[in-house]
Amino acid sequence: MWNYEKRLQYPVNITTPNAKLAQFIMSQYGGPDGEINASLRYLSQRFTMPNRVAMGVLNDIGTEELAHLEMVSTIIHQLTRGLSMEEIEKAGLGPYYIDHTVAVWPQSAAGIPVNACEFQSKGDPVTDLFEDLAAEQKARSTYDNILRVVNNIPEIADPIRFLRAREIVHFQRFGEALNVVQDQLNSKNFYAFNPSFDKPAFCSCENECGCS
Amino acid sequence: MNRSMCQPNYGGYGRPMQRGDSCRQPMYTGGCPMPKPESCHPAQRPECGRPMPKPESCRPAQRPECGRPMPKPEPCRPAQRPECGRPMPKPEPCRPVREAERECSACKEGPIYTRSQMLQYINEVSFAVNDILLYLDTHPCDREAMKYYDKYVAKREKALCDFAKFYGPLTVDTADTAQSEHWEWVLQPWPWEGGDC
Repeated sequence: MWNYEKRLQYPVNITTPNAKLAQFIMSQYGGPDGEINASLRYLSQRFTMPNRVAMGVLNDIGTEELAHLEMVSTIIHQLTRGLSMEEIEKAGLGPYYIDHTVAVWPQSAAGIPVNACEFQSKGDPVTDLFEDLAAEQKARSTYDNILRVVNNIPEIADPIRFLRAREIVHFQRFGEALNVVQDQLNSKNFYAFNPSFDKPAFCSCENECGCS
Repeated sequence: MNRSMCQPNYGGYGRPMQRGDSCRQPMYTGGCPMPKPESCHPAQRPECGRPMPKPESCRPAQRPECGRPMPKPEPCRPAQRPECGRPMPKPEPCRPVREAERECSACKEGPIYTRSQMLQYINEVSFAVNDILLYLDTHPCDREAMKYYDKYVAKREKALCDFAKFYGPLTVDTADTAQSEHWEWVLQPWPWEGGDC
């Protein structure tokens, strides 16, 4: 289960609202490669991992992504509070305002509501871990795109750069988890069976399921 | 298909667990390293000739958390301590690191640091804990990493406790209703408000 700490993983203190940037950064909240999808992906996949190292990595990175979605939604909130009607309309945020005023709601920059079709939880650990590696790269690319636009505004760029760096570290961790899973598979053929389904590995209280 | 083609290149970051790695490493039995006995310099210590004080022995069997070297006994300097000749004071016992650092400094005068300074410190030590947590998940047998974790988690626990004394709790566990009139958890600022309260 989850506990809450009354702090952001990295501080966010934005002094000047900006409707256009809020609309762009919204994609890292409710967009296809955003933090909501990342956390749901990892927290869903963790159940069908064949050993505790992989389960732990997915659990703990999924938890950190929840902390990230809190940061991104804080950025959106601070970019939209105090906006005038004029600024909202000029930035093209009119339709969003009609349905949400300046509330935070999970959608992509293009207006597509958050969608589970953007992630998979396939039940095959090799597949799932490759999906996770790709997901971290997609998130990193999205942050790169955002940084091109906000590079000259440090109060926004700083937390975004932090989030981008974390995606790269997560990529490394998923790679290591994939190694651990593959080490327990048939080295002549990784695809001989699905360890989560064909020969289910039940972690018992006696064995650690992560060290052999 | 040869295996190296299937392996994404992680740039050699960290060593993945190899087949044959065992989690059942021998338990860390390192005792306290014995302190080097101070040498006696007749030029500086005219009372040289007395037997050197015996350094207190470290008994890991009774105090397995002893991992720090024993504190060096303070030398006897006749110029400063004319009463030299009395037996050396016994060095303070080695207390387990976590207990010692857990003592919250109950500062009656008030906080030394501002709220943002303390929060910045908490963010830093917590980040260290967070990052080593992920590393340990894929390297569960790395004892060096576990020591790093121990060091920073102790700092974090103390900092969270101290923060709660002056600025209200950041976690439910540090909410101390004996310290305040009201339920500070809800009344103190929430993290998305921004600005410097």
